[in-house]
Formats: sequence, structure tokens, C-alpha cells
Amino acid sequence: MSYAYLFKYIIIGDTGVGKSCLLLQFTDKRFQPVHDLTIGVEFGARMITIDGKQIKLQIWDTAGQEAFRSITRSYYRGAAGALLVYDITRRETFNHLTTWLEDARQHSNSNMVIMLIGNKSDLDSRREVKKEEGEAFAREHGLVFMETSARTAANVEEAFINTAKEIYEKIQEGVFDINNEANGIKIGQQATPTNPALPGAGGAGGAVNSGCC
Amino acid sequence: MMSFLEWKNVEIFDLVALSSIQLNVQNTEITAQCCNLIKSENGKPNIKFVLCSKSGMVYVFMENGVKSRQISLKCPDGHQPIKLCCITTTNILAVLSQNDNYAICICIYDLNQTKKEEHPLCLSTINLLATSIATVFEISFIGIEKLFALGVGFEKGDILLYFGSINRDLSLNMRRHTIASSPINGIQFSICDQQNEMKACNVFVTSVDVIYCIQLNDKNIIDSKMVLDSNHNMANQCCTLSQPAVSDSFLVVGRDDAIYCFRRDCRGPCYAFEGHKQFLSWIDNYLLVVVKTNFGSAITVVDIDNKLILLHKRISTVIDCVSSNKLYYFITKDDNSKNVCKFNVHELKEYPTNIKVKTLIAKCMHNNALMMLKKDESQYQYDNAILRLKYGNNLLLKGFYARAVTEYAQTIGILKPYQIISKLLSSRHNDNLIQYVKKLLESKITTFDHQKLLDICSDRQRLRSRIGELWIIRNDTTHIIDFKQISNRSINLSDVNHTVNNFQGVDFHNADEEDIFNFFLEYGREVLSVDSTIVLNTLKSLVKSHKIKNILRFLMIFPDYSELNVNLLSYYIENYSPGDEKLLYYLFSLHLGLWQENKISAEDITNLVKKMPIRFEKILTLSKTYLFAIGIENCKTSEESENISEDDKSFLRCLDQHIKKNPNLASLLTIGPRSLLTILQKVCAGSDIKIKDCKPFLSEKFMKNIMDAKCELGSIGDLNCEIAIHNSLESHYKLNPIEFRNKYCDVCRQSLHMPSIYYLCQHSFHKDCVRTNYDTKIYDDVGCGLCGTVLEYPKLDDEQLDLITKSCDIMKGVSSIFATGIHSL
Repeated sequence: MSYAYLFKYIIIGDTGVGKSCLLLQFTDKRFQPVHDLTIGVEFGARMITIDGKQIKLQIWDTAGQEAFRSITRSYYRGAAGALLVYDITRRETFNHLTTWLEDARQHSNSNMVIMLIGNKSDLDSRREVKKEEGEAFAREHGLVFMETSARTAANVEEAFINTAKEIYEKIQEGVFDINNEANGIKIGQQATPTNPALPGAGGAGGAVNSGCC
Repeated sequence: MMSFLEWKNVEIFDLVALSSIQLNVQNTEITAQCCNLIKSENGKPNIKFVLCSKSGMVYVFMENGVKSRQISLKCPDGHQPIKLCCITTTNILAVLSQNDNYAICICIYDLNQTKKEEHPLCLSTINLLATSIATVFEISFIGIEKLFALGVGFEKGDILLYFGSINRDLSLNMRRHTIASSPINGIQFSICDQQNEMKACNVFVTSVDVIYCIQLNDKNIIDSKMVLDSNHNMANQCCTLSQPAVSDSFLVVGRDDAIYCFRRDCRGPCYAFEGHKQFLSWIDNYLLVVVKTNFGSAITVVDIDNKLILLHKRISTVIDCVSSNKLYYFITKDDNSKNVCKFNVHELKEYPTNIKVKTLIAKCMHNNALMMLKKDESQYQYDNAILRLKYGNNLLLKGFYARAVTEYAQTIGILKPYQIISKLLSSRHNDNLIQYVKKLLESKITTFDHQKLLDICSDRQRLRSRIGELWIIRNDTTHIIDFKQISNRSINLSDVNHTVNNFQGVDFHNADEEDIFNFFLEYGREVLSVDSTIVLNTLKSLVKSHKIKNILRFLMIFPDYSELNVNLLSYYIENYSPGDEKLLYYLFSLHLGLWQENKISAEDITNLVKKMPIRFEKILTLSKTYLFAIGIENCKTSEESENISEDDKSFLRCLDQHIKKNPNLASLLTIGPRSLLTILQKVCAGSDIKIKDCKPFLSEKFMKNIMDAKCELGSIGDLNCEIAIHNSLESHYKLNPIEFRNKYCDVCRQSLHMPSIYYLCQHSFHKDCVRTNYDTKIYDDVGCGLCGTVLEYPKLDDEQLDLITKSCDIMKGVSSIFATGIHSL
């Protein structure tokens, strides 16, 4: 399927915060309560429309465990957007945000758009991190903030699409060098041949063309 | 580090040892080997195993499942040992030798052209100069035109590439390219999308630290070169190409920490899996990984899409892994043989589909089983249907009725419908049965009976709605509520409200008290549950119009609505029967009941007492019955005690005096209501209190002490037992300590944090994970949810028990002293 731009995203955050579930909800519109632990980096893709232009989002879903950090770090390079996810019911995941942010800023390009996501907003009764705290953190570090629920799909679309909008605006402003693929943005061809998926993208079906690039 | 070995294990492959391969030559040092595997026309594998010796000889061992033969050949550059060799599935063998000056000689043979012991036909010989040691050698036929591709990688990072047809002198068109700065260790060819007339191929080249994708045209010129990844910390160990020789194939590279996927223009996913990767290969959509370990090799087959481990076995060190047409052979050195040229062969065997499906069903993975059968649906049509039936049954059990019917519907035409109809006969599956039979009627196999069944189902559906209507017509709200609760699991309040509205319109003018009573007996409670004001007002108006004379029996209709009763009775007493002691007595007891339910305060009772024209001793007796002790206190200390009659005052004074003289009696007021009432009666009657009246108090007290002592002795016994059990448990764990090293929760696989539960079976969980996943009360002594192990106390013999209980038993000492004290009493 042809697209005007391809944006590469990376989803980062502590283990168990719901990164894979967010991706599954976004690409496949479903929720799996019992999800296998991500043991490396998996990916999904979906086509969206911004300003009348078809934009393909290629999303890298990383493992949150410390042990996988060396593997996942190499995927920061060449990402135009990052979703930094924490779990509103586990304060420690919020406390680790600074480390994640430092890591992301150190290994990615400086223009990368980072969105802070407080996931599991449906579990309000078990909330340990207030929405205001998330907002304050985002304000302090210049991030966009949103609370989502991969279970109910609340704000999931918005999180991915708003990030894409921000990247798109940056492209319009000329902040991104779109000719350098290291920035995580690729200008599309008019007719990209449809390619079968790489392994691991099997879940990203439906209306989504899960083919790579 | 965790790896994909954490995924679900479903063994659908096995390793089978085949007969070993032995060369006729004894104890020759082997410098290179390669083999190919072709499924011959008779279905048996045709294997060609090539071994190159240090002496420059090449031995080809051929076996076609029926007979085996062996040929040997010597290269033109025969004095140099063969360094690298490669064979294609079309039986083209290429061998490479290199001299001390790095000059290389490549010979290409067509093994199809060998007859008996003849030397095979040499298609081409290439002699070229190089600057470093050759490290990797790859040949392949790609594309529809089966163009020949050859690549040699060198230690200094340069490669020799050829892409075109095979001719006598390939060296004229072969070109050298400097690609990397580190040794090349992998070359893979795949076809390129042809956008013009020019033929081209993609060449994935892996050096130790960088992965490249090169586009090579048939003029042997590099059109483009792209760096896919560079990692200087972790060396690339081996690589393979998915679906070789097609345009969208992707490269899989093994590193020590993980397996990484790459497409020709971007990175793919990666999967953590530690270990030195010896071989990587694809079996359809499954990835085969051979990892070198301390004890040999570990072979793992993994289904990456579905996250399943299909095989994980260890064998002795694999020296080569051959694959073709779904046949996978692992060649290992026979360490037990003295002949160094003897090799063991293991075949990777996929279980037959029926066993695979059975295994998957046993693990409740019906979806995967269906996907497996889908590959060859026509062949397994019946099995597919059976599987769908089982899947449907499984879904039905789990309560996914609609999905179950969808699965059942797909068996129509293959399975007999009664197998499914029999499962859906229950009335709660009526809708599902209708759904299934409708699908059945759309098919060609339908019979008249199916139509009849659908009619019956529809009748049953209609019957249900008719029953509902019938209840509404009867205006029987109780049953409407029940019925609705059963059918809809919610109370349909609109129907009850309808009844209430009707109730308001009921005309009691011509009804006598009996009719009114019966009416309220039948409908009162339901209406009351919706609106108590209507009932109260109606009853008050009936009292007012003298339709109700015996108010007490109306009160009995609503025993649970004390407030309504109090209201109604107060109204009745106030207006029509102010002095009726019986009613006042009842009203007071109702108030006390409300006080017990904390609906009114003690003060309200006190105020009521002051107003009530009933005898004070009756009030006291009733108060005592309802344990309303505070009422007496209030009466005694109330500033408005002047309002209390003289008789009552003298009674209170008398009570005070008695208590002052005999302070011990004060405590008696809290026990033995019967004895107390006796003594109160005496006090009220003004007669003397004799010693025999106090006897029950004393005996009660005495009996109570005896009972308490007995209870305590029993408790001590129980405590001793418990202490003994805990001691034995403690000593057991002192002798056999258990170390809890678990870092991860066995449910969610995340690092443990408090609150967590550690079971003796070494499983550990987050408290929340246990609660949400196993639906158990965590404070119960239940076993581990994962393995079902119930904590068992080790049983000790009496001697051990005695020993344990004698030692360090402070509690027992304390309790025995306590018990002795009670005995002496």
C-alpha cells in the first residue's frame, strides 16, 4: 500500500506496564489480558491519515526488563517518536521514568517526539500515581502526556495519532531532515509492493498492512 | 537472561537417529564438509555428503535410501587442501582451496553427471589472487531463470561476487568488492524485485560486526549498498535467509544474546536467546536454532509467530546441519568410533498431523490446531470438523456460546448434525440451537426433521415470552420479579411500578376488614418494596375510616418493616385507642426493636417511656428483654425524674439501696435474665428477698465458672496440639531449610515486589496475581495455584513429638500453671 510518509516509533517503559497491549490495541483493536512476555523487540504497523495524507506507522515494541536493555537500546536509533509508558497502579514504574527518558535521549536523535503515557487508566481504584503527577512530569520534561487504557482502548488511538501529528508538524516546520532515514522518517513511494510480514508481525492483521517498510 | 524458551512448549518435532555414515578412507583429517538433501521421486531422501581431506581429495558419499555409493575426486590444484566447499540442491558442488600466498582456486562440478566411479564433470575452474584468508563460501541458484550466484568472503572484509550463468571461465566476470573492515562470515543471495530488464540479486553480507545488503546486477556491479546494522559489542555468528531465493525473504542473524531479523532495507524484530549460535535455518515458518553448549549442541525449533517452542533437545556437537524440502539432518561426529571418518546422522522429524493436532488439543490450543489443519484442508476435512466440534465444545464450556456455534456451523456437511444438536438441547441454549439449525437449513444436507426442530425451538422461544406475559396479566409481581430475575438477571421495575399504580386505584369502600387483610397479605409486601408511603397512607386512611379495627394482625403482615409498624401503631393509638395497654406494650417493644437496629437512639426510648402510661416494671422487664440497660440508667439519672410516678421512684430507690448494700449484686444485673426477673418481681411486689432467691445467682455463677474452666482446659489442650505441630514444622525446616530465591512471579513473570506469596513448592506469586488468576482466598491454607501442592505438615512419631514439646515450650508451662490455678479453685 502506498503511503506519503513512514514514521518509526518505539514503545519503552518498565516491564508489565502494557506496552505490547497498547500496540495490540492500536494495530489489532483487541486486548489480551494474559500476554506473553516480550523477550526482545517485536513490531507492528498501521496506516493512519493525517491532513489527508496516508502515513504508515511502524512501531517497535520493546521488552521492558533490565536484562534486555542492551538489545532494545539499538532500536532507539532511527525512531521518530517514542511512547514512554508507565503503569498508574505501580508507582515504581513512574519513578523509573527519568532513567528511561535519559536512556531515550542519549540513544536517539534529538528531535524525537516523546509522548508520556500513563496506562491502565481503567484501574482507577488501584491508582498509585495521580494524573496531575504525570502531567507535571510531562511539563517538566517537555513531553506530551496522556492517560490510556489498553483494556478499554481509551485514548490509545489518540496517543499514537497525536504523536504522529506532532511529528508531521515538525516535518512541515522543517525540523526533521526527511531525507535522512536515521531520523525515523521515510518518504513513501507511490506504489510500494505489498510484502508479507516479518516474523512477529503476525498479530498485526486486520486493516493493517503489517508489511515492513 | 530470559529467552524464548519461556514460551509454551508443544513438542511436535522429534530427533531420530539414522544409520551412521562411514567413509571407506580411514583416519583422514577432514578440512571441509558440506551436504545436500533432496527428496527423490520415490519419496525417500537422497543425501549427498561431501568430505574434503587435507590431502586435497574430495569424497562424495551418496545415499538414496536404497543403496549408497562413494566417489572421490581430486581438484586440479590437488596439492592444496580444500578449505571451503559448498553444494546446491541441484547437485552442483563447488570447492575452494587457497595456497600460502592467498591465491584461490575454485572448482565447480556437476554431480549429476557422475556415472559409477567416474570423475564428475568439472563445469568451471577459477584461479584468482586474493589478499587474505577466505572465510566464507556460498553458491546458489536464484530466480526463475536459476542464475548462478557465487560469493567468497575474506578475512579483510572484501568479497568476490559472481552473478550470471555458469560458463567455463567465470573468473573473467567475477569481481572483488571491498565491503567491510572486519572478516566476512556470511553471504546469502536472494532475488531482487526486477523493475527493469536488468537482472539483479540482493546479497546479504554479514561481517563480524556489520550487516549489509548489496544489490548486485548481472554485470557484477554493485548498484547499492546499505548498512542494516552495526554492533561492535556483539559479534554476528551465523545467518540464514528465510524462504531462500524469493524477493521478500529476510535475513536472520544469530548473535550471542539474541536472534535478529533484517529485511533488505530495514531492521526486523529480535528475540532474546543466549548462546553461541552454530546454525540457523527455517522449516516453513519455524526457526531452527542450533546453539553450541558445554556438552554439545542444543537444537531448538521455535514458532515465532505463535510463540511456541516446538522442540528443544540436546545432542553431541553438530558439525553440519543440512536441509532441503523440509528434511533436516544433523551430522555429528561419532566419538565412540576410532575411525574419524564416521559420522552420526540425526533426522529432525515432524510428527504426523494427527499427533500434532492431538498434542495441541491436549494443551487447549484449538486455534493452533485448526491453523495446522488449514494448510491442507481438503486432506483433513473430517479431522478439521472433529477439531472444530471439540473447539466448539470447549468454547461452550467456557460460556462463549456464540463463538461455539460459529465453530459448530463450520462442521455442517461433514459431521452429523445430531452430535451438535444434542449439545444444544438445553433450554438455555435455545437461541444458539436456533442459530445452528438455521445454518443447517441453509445447507444442502437438511432434512424435514431439522425444519421440525426449528419449529419446536421457535415454539419454545414463544412459550417463554408467553409465560412472561401470563405473569404480567395475573399481576403477580412476585413471580414477575422472579421470572425476570431468572431470564434477564435484573428486576424489571416498570412492571412493579405498574402494580403500584394499580394499587393506588384500588377501591376499598365496599370491602370488609377480612378482604382488606387478604389484599394486603397478597400484594402489600411487593408494593411496600417499591413505595412504603403509599401503603402507610392507605392503611392510615383505612384506620381513619374505621375499616381496620384489629390493627395488630395488619402489623404482622410486615414483620420486617418495624418503622412502618411503629408509625401505623402510633397513629392508631394516638387517635383511636390511647389507653390500650396491650397496644402500648407492643409499641414499646417495637421501639426497642428499632433501638436494637440502631434506627433510633436511647434518648428516644427514654422520652417515649416518659410519655407512656404503662407500668414502669413492665417497661423495665421489656427493657431487660431487649438488653436495654442504658434505659434504666437514664431513668435513674434523668433530671426530669420528677415526671416518674412515686411508685416507680420508690422502686428505683429500693434498687439503689440494694445495690449500695450489696455491691456484688450490681454485676448480677448483667447476667441471668431469669433470676434477675425473679428478684425484680420480688422487689416490685414489695416482698422480702430471701436467700433462696439468690441461690440461682450463686449456682449460675458457680456453673459458669465450671464451664469456663472446662472450656479453658479444652483450649489449653488445643493450644498444646497446635504448639506441637508448629514445633515439629519448625524443627523440620531447621533440618531441611528452604531457600527462596525466586525473583519473578510465576504468573506474570515480572519481578516480585511486596506483597508476595512464597509457596513451599518454590513457586512464588504477587498477591494480586494469585487473587486475580486463581480465585482463591489467599489467607486460606490453600496449595499453590500452579502445581496444586498442598502444604503438608511432616508427621512425627510420638517420641519425637514428646522431645519437641518438652524442649523450649514456654507457652505450655504458662498454660499448665494457669490450668492448675483453675483446678485448685
